[in-house]
Amino acid sequence: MLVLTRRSGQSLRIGPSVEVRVVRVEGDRVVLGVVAPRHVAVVRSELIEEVSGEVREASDARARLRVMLKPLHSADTPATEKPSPDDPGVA
Amino acid sequence: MKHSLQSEAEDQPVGHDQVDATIVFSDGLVGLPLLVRHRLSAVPETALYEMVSQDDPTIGFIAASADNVKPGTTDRLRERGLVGEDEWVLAILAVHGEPPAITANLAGPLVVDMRQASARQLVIEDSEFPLQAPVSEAG
Repeated sequence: MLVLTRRSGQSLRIGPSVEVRVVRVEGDRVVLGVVAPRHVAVVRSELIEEVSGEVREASDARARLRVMLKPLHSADTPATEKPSPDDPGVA
Repeated sequence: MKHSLQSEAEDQPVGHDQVDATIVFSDGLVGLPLLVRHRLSAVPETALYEMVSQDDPTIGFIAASADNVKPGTTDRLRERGLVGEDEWVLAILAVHGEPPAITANLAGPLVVDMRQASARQLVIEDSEFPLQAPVSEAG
């Protein structure tokens, strides 16, 4: 890992188009500003872990979700049964 | 703010009713890079979709068009250059809390190109795209 020391207001560059600037230091927190092209995703590392965890939770919850959605869809789609030939409305 | 799946779905049907295709995520899912091939199919009589990994069939989830969860999501992602004109954005649904409530993952949306049968998962650092956006099923 490359380790660099920067002061508030100083910056570093990653490749030709990404700049990371130290905006200020507040105790044990460092406020960074990032300048990058729009297509470059800039995210906190923990957000990637959270998104990954959410995918796993969604997978675990799939059966539960089906049960929760079932009454709703049954109520919204009452006319899914085939009409009976005895039904006076059926020719 | 709670978003409605049903009412938006009825007002502006954003979807692919007949979808039943194998979609390739060349980079896998976020944190699950080996899950590359997924079967995407429409859940009958709903505005929902099911995606099941073909690499690990124990992994699968229910998703909704992101615009049905939060209208305008696709446009906002297009403005940022994250989604192409012909791409479709899905949000993975999960269940959280007690009593259980349905949430949509807008921080990690799936961007699908049906013509190429390919997709990718984004990670968006913006409070406008929460990890667990509340969804009300009936509106």
